[in-house]
Amino acid sequence: MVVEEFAFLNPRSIAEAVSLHTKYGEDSRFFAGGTNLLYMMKRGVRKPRYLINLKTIRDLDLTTFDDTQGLRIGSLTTIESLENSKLMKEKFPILAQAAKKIASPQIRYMATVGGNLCQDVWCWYLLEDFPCWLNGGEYCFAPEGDNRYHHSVLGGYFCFAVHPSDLATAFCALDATLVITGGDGTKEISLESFLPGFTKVEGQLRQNILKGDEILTEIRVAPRWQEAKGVFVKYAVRQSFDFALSSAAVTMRMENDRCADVRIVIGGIAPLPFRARQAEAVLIGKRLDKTLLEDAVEQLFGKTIALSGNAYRIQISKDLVAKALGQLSFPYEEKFIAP
Amino acid sequence: MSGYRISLQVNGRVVEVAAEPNEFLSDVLRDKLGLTGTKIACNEGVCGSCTVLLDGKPIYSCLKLACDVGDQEILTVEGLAQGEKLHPVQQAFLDVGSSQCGFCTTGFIMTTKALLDNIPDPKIDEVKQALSGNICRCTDYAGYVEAVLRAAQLARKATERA
Repeated sequence: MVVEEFAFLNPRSIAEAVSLHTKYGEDSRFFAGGTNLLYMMKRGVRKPRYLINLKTIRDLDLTTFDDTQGLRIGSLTTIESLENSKLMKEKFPILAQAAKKIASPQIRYMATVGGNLCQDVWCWYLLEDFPCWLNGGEYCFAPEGDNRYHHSVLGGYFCFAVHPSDLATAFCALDATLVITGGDGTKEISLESFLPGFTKVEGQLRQNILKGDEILTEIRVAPRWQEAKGVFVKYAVRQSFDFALSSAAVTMRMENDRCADVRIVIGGIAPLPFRARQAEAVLIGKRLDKTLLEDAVEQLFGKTIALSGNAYRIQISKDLVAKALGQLSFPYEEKFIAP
Repeated sequence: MSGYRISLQVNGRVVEVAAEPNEFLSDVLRDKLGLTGTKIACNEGVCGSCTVLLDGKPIYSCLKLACDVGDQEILTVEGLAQGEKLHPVQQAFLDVGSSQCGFCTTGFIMTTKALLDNIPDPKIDEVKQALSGNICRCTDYAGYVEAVLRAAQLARKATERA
């Protein structure tokens, strides 16, 4: 496949990168690992005329942790270094677990944390250049088409594609915040507000609220989360390469044998990571036993909006959450709910 | 767009080659440098046949822009043998005879080299994890796992003798 011509620009600073985007506008895209953007360009679905390389900007790939500021991960950190980071394995293993489930080793050496969170979402209709909402059209082919693998069980907003990011799911279970710099300055926002499901940004339907001239520079987790235990589980058709059919990120902090705080996030089944707040409420303040955990799993979803071919992913989600809760609550016992 | 000349470090040598920004490392290696040991199958980063090492790390050269390599060292399968002497990884794959059509093999060999440089004595699970980015359509992969373990053995023997 020949990719159409473009210029490859190497800014030395964020300010220079932002001003390059201002100069070249919609025809330009920020470029990190490239595993998402180049893939879409090879399919002919995206055709930027200018790639603004973020890797030439110093210090966007640094990770720090201390007890006051908490965890700060540079957005250009590769997925592989997150996966193998001693710091993650010791203090935030849920992130290392999620990173390890992404794509394949070769992709993880190239792809970045920031790119994974900001990725251009697609389904197989978009990839085949169908004129859908994300491709200059005003239609979604999924509801009346083949929606087994890429589409939401919790509804959509014009588009039904799911956000596939495993890291978004895991970071959501850590109440992560994002630092974003652009033409309007720098701001820190919650990951939940960064991924609100589909929304219009600068007149275009998008899955994250990043404006064209904005760059995600850092992902932050508050220091109190080092006291929580967490686990990430994923189910996909194959054991590598594939997006999750469903995934679960669960974090829990215990106090005096009771569940003091819990996050249950399900990924890959909606246009955003889904916080199962009802299920969380079942557990808060309680001593955990098998009946309670089963109750929480039952209350995972309120209303679901499965399409013609994807309802099976609701049960998979429940099983994954059950597995995750079991691993956190009874780590030395057999799985308490059979797969 | 006028031609770019870029400098690449390939298999221990510095080469200069003309490459536009929209050219991928896989194509430059094969079409401009004659290094056709790296294969292109899916051409979109989902099969692993184009795997080369960049500073020792396995990546998909079909998803790497040539102009984005900079001064990272590229290692292709052609850079493994020392003259007539095969690298232990190559020898092991030959000994086990795990290839059928052979198209995926060089990709597996490069991934294996990276694994063994990182973990000289991998357990089977570690081998399978490391190979999870390389697809083979002919075999059931068992021969490849065996080849990797044999390569680890051969490499160990070589260091013991040295």
